[in-house]
Amino acid sequence: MPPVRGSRRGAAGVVASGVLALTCAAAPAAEDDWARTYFLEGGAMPACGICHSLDAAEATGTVGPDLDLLEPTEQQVYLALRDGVGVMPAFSEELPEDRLRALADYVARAVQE
Amino acid sequence: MLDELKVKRRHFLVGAAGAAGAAALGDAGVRAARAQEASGLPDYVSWKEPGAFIQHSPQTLETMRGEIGLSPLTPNDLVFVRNNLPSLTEEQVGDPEAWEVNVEGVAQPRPITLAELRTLGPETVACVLQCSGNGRGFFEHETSGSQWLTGAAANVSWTGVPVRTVVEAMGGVDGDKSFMTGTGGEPIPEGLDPLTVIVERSVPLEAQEVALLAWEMNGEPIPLAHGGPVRLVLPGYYGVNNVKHLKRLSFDETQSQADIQRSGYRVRPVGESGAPDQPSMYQMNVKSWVTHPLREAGTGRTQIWGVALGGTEDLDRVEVSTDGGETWEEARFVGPDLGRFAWRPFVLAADLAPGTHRIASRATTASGAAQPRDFEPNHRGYGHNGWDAHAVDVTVQ
Repeated sequence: MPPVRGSRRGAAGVVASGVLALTCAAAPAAEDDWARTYFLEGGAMPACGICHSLDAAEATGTVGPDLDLLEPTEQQVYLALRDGVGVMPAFSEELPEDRLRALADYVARAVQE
Repeated sequence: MLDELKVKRRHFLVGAAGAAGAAALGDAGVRAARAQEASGLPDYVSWKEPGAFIQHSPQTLETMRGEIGLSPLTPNDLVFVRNNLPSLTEEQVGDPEAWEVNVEGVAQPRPITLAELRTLGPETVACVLQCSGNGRGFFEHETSGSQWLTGAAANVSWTGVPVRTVVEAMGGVDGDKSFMTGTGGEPIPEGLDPLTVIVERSVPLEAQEVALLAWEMNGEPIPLAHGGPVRLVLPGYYGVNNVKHLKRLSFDETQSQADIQRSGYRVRPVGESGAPDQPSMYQMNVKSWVTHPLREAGTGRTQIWGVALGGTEDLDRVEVSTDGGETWEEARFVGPDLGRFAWRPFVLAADLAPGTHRIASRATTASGAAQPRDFEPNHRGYGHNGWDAHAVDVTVQ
């Protein structure tokens, strides 16, 4: 990808942003705090930030896609967490549904900031 | 270039500056239009053909459907990219000739360099390289991962040394083994159990009969983005089994315990989690798709193109329908037959009247295996070869 982050955001990101604005109510701060902590520290499963970069969490992993560049939607993050993607493991045995949703919601909003 | 295909739901594309867009169209719900401009390929694949790819992520580039022509081989700069882990850099590889593959589970296990592999008897094989999830975007149910349509596939000529030759040089397989396991050389970050993300795939032992330790791709050193300097090539097997940057080849009594083997790439009903007792994505099935025309055609005679593969078998025939599967006509194969693992381009000349025509193709193998009209859904969206979903609606003015 080109080196200038600000120029990389495409039309898809704009579309996704619009969808999020329609579907995502503001999350309670406590949920965001939990999501950020889990992103950085993980649990029995590895922390998201070991593999992924996310500016909002100050995570700098380079194994998986840079989430600020990928700009996934909440649903894309949720499905990736629930089912895994390639070598990314599924987190559905560690996290209950509401936590999967909270984490996906946090990431999807964070990449739009 | 705009590549518009009939799909069942909206696809959000990700990509570079101004590069991706999604628009909703009709068809009882949603159709997607896709556009990808020339610029913006990631640095590690900047040598690829600009404008020929849909970028699902920096590590997943899909070849646009209309980019596949009638040449039997896919040029390297048009071959799709799907990396489970970031490609190695030249600095990480060092001297390619000194790259070592550790061979284990043989009578005389030892590392062998690329330079030494070259001294063993080389062979060349043409085979389809296809991601397990090619066609995932055609499924109705929601799936994680890249929503590939047709472009996670290519036909490639690989040169290297047969695994059976390497095994023979090392005294044969040691004892009673059931699996051959390839391990990629990508570094695993600290703090992560290697089994979580390591690319390590076990395939049935008989795969060694067709497997190659390859160093050339279409006559060039295998680019790092495609797994150089040495890649395990398994003709007839889905892409994930063709381990890139091969650092270890072992013969084992049991399968790898890596997650990518244990629970990843497992075929199961929608809603179920992956587990070792489910079928693994090993051998490919029979499949075909039209590559031209995709949206519009002029009046009069139209040459309909496409590609067809038999998975692990020779093809018997490919039929084309211009009326959504009501009637079929046998197409003509174009160019040389590169063997049972390669795909074959095909052509059918058709005189299309003004209006919209639903063009489909259906391949049948020598043993009679044929593409189904519909393909049963599976949780992760693997192996779709249903001909109806792959059909295109072409308007003749």
